[in-house]
Amino acid sequence: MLASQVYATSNQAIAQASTNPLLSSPIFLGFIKFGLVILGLIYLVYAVILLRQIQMMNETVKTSVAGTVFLMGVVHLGLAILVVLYLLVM
Amino acid sequence: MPDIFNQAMLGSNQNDTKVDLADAQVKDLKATVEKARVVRKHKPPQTLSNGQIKPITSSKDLTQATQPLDVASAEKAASQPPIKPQSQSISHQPETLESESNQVRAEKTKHIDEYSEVMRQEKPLKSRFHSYVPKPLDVTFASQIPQEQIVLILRQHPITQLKNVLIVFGMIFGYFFLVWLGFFNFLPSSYHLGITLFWFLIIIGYSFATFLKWLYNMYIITDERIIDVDVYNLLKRNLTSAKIDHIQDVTAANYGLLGSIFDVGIVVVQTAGANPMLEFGGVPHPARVVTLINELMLEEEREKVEGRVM
Repeated sequence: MLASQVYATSNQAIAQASTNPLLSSPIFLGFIKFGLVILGLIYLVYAVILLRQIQMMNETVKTSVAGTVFLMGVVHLGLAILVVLYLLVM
Repeated sequence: MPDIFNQAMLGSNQNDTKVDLADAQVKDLKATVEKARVVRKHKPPQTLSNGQIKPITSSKDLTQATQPLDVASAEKAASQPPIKPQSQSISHQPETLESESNQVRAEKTKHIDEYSEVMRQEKPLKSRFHSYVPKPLDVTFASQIPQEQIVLILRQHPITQLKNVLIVFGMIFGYFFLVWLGFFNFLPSSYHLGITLFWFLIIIGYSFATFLKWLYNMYIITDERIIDVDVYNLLKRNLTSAKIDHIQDVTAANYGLLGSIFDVGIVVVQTAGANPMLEFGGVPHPARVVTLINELMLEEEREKVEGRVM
């Protein structure tokens, strides 16, 4: 009951917002894109730091999983690069 | 040569040519002796650790200078094999001492199974993603001493990560809730996809960072010391160690419902060092860990009494 009420209210609000020309204007969409790209670049720095942290920890404590964890870090960085590239071209 | 030398020194003048020759040779000999003295003065003989004088092999001048004074010894020396340079054996001496020291240390150090009842019951384990790794087979750390045995590696029990797992599920659920509400409906589909990708990248990143924090936040117990590797966040980590013989008190406690069910608790190690307290939070089998540390402390005492301390 409550969920259906929330759904109906939000749907109505979003339908009204969709008709707002400001929200569909190129300036607004460009602003969203710019924000997403900036966030993506910040995330890229985070992914690089994460990889560096893995390298440092692997030097401090050497385990058999060091290679696997490093690979996971590289994959994570690769994903971040792909997402940032998509955000740039979308 | 000595006859000629003697004749020359006695001033025999039976034959002028012979005397001239002897004079010339005497002059040569005096010059070489003087040269040898100068060389010896500038390069005093070095004494080795065993009390022997180090032969000077590098100075050709000295060898040439001393050769005419004693022909017999020079010929004898020439017939013998060349002297091995002493400097090589001196330069290798520290390595030899180090290896000998390691050998002695290895002989004096007992294996953990010889004195620990707790570890005798445990099988060696490869340190993959376990939270309790007794006698790890494939782990070393940067400041490890050559004969130092890693006895136990502890990480927080996976159940302590329940909060983070719930946060990740909350983030996933939150995204689908917003989609269900139609929150992104006013955006073009490419933007919707971009936001979705970025949102799930953040979820993956958070999960990965949490996993790394759990993986590297470890407690290493060796037969010599206890090391606490704390990873607070991405940029802050701390490595604290305490020698076993500095430990004064060890306590363990289980806490909460999940702690009692999964045998998870806290181990507090009080030391006499600069870092008075090491705290292992959320580790499995805290009572067993305390027993092990007590056994290690006892062994340290035994080493001191038996003179096995290196």
